Amino acid sequence: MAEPVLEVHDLKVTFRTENGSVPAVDGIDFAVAPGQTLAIVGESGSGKSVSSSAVMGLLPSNADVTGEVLLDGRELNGLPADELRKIRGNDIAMVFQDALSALNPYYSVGWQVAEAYRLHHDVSKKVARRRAVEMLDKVGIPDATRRADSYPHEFSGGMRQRVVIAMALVNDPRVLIADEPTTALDVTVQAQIMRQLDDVQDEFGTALILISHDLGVVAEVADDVLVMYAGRAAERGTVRDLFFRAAHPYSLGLLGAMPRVDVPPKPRLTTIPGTPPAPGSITTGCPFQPRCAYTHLVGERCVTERPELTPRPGEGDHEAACHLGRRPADA
Amino acid sequence: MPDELLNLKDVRKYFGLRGVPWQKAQAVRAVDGVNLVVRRGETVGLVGESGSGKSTLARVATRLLDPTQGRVEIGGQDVTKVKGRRLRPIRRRIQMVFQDPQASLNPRQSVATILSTPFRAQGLRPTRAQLVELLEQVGLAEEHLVRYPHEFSGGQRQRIGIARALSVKPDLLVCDEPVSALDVSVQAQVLNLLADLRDELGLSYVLVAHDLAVVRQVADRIAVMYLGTIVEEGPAAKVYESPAHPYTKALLSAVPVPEPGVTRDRIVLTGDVPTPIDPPSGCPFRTRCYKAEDVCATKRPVLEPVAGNSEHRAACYFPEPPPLERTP
Repeated sequence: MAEPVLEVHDLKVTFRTENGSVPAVDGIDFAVAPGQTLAIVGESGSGKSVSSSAVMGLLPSNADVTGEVLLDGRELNGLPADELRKIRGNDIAMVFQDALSALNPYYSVGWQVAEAYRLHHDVSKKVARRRAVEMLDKVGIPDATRRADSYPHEFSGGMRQRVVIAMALVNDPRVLIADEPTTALDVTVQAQIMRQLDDVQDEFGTALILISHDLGVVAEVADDVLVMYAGRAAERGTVRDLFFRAAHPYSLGLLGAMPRVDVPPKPRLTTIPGTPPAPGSITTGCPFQPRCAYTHLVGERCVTERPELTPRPGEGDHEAACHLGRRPADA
Repeated sequence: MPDELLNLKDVRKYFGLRGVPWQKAQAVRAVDGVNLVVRRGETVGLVGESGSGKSTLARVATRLLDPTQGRVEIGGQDVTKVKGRRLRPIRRRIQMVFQDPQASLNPRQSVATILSTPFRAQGLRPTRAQLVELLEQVGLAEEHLVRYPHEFSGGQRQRIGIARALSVKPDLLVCDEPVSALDVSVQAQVLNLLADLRDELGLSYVLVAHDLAVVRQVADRIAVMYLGTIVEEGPAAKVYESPAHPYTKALLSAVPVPEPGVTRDRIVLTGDVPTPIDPPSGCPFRTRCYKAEDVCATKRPVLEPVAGNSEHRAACYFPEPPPLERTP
């Protein structure tokens, strides 16, 4: 793998609340290289969105973030707000699920994209506007020169998401974090947006962190995958490691639970019993243990000892945090 | 008992838009002429993108909305004009499960109260044993009767919504996006539950969903909606394996498959769904269709058998040819 542009080491996020502190992310590592796509997969409450917000320094003041966030080797965690502001939107940009709330209804979309450019470049309004139109065109907004004067409410959901992507890419960021960018969109529009992101990535060599629960999208666009469960990494590896050599029972369970559109249905979907634990409710042992179908093969260790990521056979740095030392499919 | 549980005949639902006095009144044609039959024991999947009218159709079918035009028959009886109290016996036969269990359960009522409401609406008093049986049917237990919706997870709340719908022993459940708010692992549990209930109780379903993989998992028959009309309808295996309508084909090709390296011949549609206020003339899909010709703008195509199979029908002037049969 090429030299990573963004590296995260032992990231921990704890929220201080009235009911004590809640650990949302409990020590995760990841890295992404230029032009590569890292997918972070997990269900609600797994900490996938919190991790990405922590990278961007976007968490509220009751969040304690520890660990290293290195952009080209430069530590971001703990930077003063004005330093961070120079990086956010310029070197690292983010696209959220809900495009409507990411746009200001009061300004034209062209103005908003131009504003994002002017924040980081000392240029005239005219130059910024030209750049905004160019970006809107690049993300596939037809008739961009004219549509730049339209307001967010005049766009469909898919077009709004394109505007948000244009805004995120206007400063040629090194890293783009996309948090469920197509979840709110119809599947035909999702296909358009994912293709657009792919084209942009090819052109600019942007590193993409895709946060998603949709394993179909992940299989299609990701190079590497990090599977999160209850704030920890359950498994990481290349996309083929995860889909063909899943080493964690949770990853295997997720794959079995996905209905598929391209093959005749199985009589029953494989399910994972129970529901994900509330953050902080499992303090010893493996967080997945209460739902795991393989824990009887291991025994007490699953309850008493927290599994660490250990190397597994695969293409690259395939790792899983499971006491069962082999693939659950072979067990 | 009649074989047809639900029969929709040329159903239309227009929503009036309150305009300004000097402009002509406009209407959103949410459902624009739909015929659909649901027979006993079958699961019909109603798929389409946002704005296709699938949820409106589900609400018209359950008589939560009045159709602007057309006929709704439930169990062979014309119920289009039935109103108020007289709808209650009809509601014993057809019940609805909603998308957001958070919003469809009253947070101030215990599960026992929530589950007994349909009984009371029918003038019945449920016994505790009946309520416990309902909970057990959906994989919950007696201890949950005294709890309130906020004490449950999303998947459990959806189970309560299903239990409530089952309380009056309906023949047909209309489920509007029953799993789209749930995590993947929980979604699979609820889909399996729906399949188990069908086998145990002989239920029929209308399953409204935008997720084509979810629908394929449970449906016997599929109806694909676009801009208020059904553009293709047929047995699930036929529609998924050899879609005849270009829209169905494009829609299916757009679904990503959870297997790296599988490249799909993707038909990427351009543009967005047109507004249902002023739908295109002729075929509603022609503005985005890769096969459209002049004739498509003239008259709306009607559902016609695909390759002579009267079960599989598509509304298109240029349907996709069926795959070649392999000769032995």
